[in-house]
Amino acid sequence: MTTLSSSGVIALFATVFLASAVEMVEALTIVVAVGVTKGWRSAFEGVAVALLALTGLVAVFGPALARIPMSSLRIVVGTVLLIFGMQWWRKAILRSIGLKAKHDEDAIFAEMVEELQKGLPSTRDAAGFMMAFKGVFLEGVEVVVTVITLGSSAHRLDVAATAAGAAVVLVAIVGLIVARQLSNVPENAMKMVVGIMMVSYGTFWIGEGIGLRWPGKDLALLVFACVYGLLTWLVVLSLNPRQPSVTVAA
Amino acid sequence: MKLVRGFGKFLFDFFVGDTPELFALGVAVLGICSALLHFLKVQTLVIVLLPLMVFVGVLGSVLLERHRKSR
Repeated sequence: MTTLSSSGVIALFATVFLASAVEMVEALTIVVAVGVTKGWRSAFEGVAVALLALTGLVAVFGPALARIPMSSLRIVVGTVLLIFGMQWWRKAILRSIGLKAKHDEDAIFAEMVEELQKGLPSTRDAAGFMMAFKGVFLEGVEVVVTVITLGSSAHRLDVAATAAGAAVVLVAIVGLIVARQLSNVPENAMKMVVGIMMVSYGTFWIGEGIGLRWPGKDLALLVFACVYGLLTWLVVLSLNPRQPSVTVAA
Repeated sequence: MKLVRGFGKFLFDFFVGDTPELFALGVAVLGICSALLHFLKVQTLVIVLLPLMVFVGVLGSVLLERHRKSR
């Protein structure tokens, strides 16, 4: 059975923290948009019900995961993380080379406000409630999947849950301070790091699950992250459209 | 029934979405590496092949998207 060294614990904490922070920024954009346009009561009620639903999800799937044999769990978790991480990694590369629009939280906020303003604001608004609920629940599911998969396969559910909790609290505090300036968060860089880390964990756990003995044990995780990171840098550098040269008239 | 169908669609979007090639790659990585390790017992080959397949797959998906956008 593999247990993580201190460097592995730091890597686990950082990955879960960044993944959770990115998802929470997206959820916060939706909640603030609902709060501003439809009233904070609907927004907070939506958030509360979504958090209850997420707690139920953890309560159902958490103990179920603990009963799965470790090698099978690592294969399932590794495959989920690999597929999930490759999606993030691909999107981040596409955004870096200009083939996909960057996630602009200000534009999303403005779009949502415009959409929500079509209805009249009231103290309890069904559309606002549903939007806040869906936003927090769907982004929260990604956080739950990250915490449960990474935490359970590394036998450090406590570290993963603490990292996610810290990210939620930090994003909530920052959200209260900056409110509508969420576009300043370097989201693509964070998504790139999270994507690479998830793919590194996925590679590692699939290998462990099928009975592979990685050289250097969990240090292999950091090697994967560095190699994937270096290769990403080379890909972005070579696929980035070259800027046209500027001729300055004398 | 509507709820089950909705949940199925949610799972499909979550894991497959607009990148079915990455889902297929994840399953292929698991199948090929597992078969090589259990039937041919080639540890060293799998140690190199597993991360290589992952990177080449993601690069292929990026290039595929670039090709789609350039048309």
